[in-house]
Amino acid sequence: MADFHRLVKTSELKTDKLTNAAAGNLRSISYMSYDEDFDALVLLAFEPESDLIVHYLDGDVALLYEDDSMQIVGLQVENFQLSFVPMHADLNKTWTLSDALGKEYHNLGEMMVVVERFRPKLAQEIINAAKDIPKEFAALFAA
Amino acid sequence: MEGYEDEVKQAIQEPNPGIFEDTQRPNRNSYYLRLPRSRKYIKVVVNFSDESEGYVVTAFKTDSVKRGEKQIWPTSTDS
Repeated sequence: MADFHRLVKTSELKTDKLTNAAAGNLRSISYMSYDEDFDALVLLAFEPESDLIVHYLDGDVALLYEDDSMQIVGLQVENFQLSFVPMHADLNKTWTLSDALGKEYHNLGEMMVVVERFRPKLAQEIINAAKDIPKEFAALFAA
Repeated sequence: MEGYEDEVKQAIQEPNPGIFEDTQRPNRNSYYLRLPRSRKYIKVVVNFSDESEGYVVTAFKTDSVKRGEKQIWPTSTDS
């Protein structure tokens, strides 16, 4: 399929919020959640002000933008544990955490509590691993 | 997908542009429904435990079909 039924071009999406937040002119959040059933990780830099729209890039990585403003506010990575994490060695190490903490975690809920401490590093590695995403993400989530 | 329950049902019952098989999970299909007067689809992700039974994993709005997903319905032989 040539066009993947694409209705909105990536060039139509806006990055003003990301740019302003990276410059320190706009307050951002650093929200991360993982949906175990869907196997998707979501990173948000802002509380969305309207419905979130998933804009697929290449593969399992997608931008999240506000329906009303078309401002990019986050990132979604699908097949996160199945394929994204194993493909990226640094991310795999951080996500597993067993090397750093010397402990095996039996479920993701338990792991996510601990992973909170590693969130900036984890977010940074996800952003480094994902291609074609706005560079402003890195500055926001590394803080 | 609060507020879009009818569209989620419609996506499963009357998908348009169709049903697509997941890129990596053969037991997972995505049902897309183009929303009227909008440049968006509702995407409903369904996991199947067997050929006749499945459950909705998630649903959200998107502006394209995911690259790599294989269309399984309708196919060219369905028309």
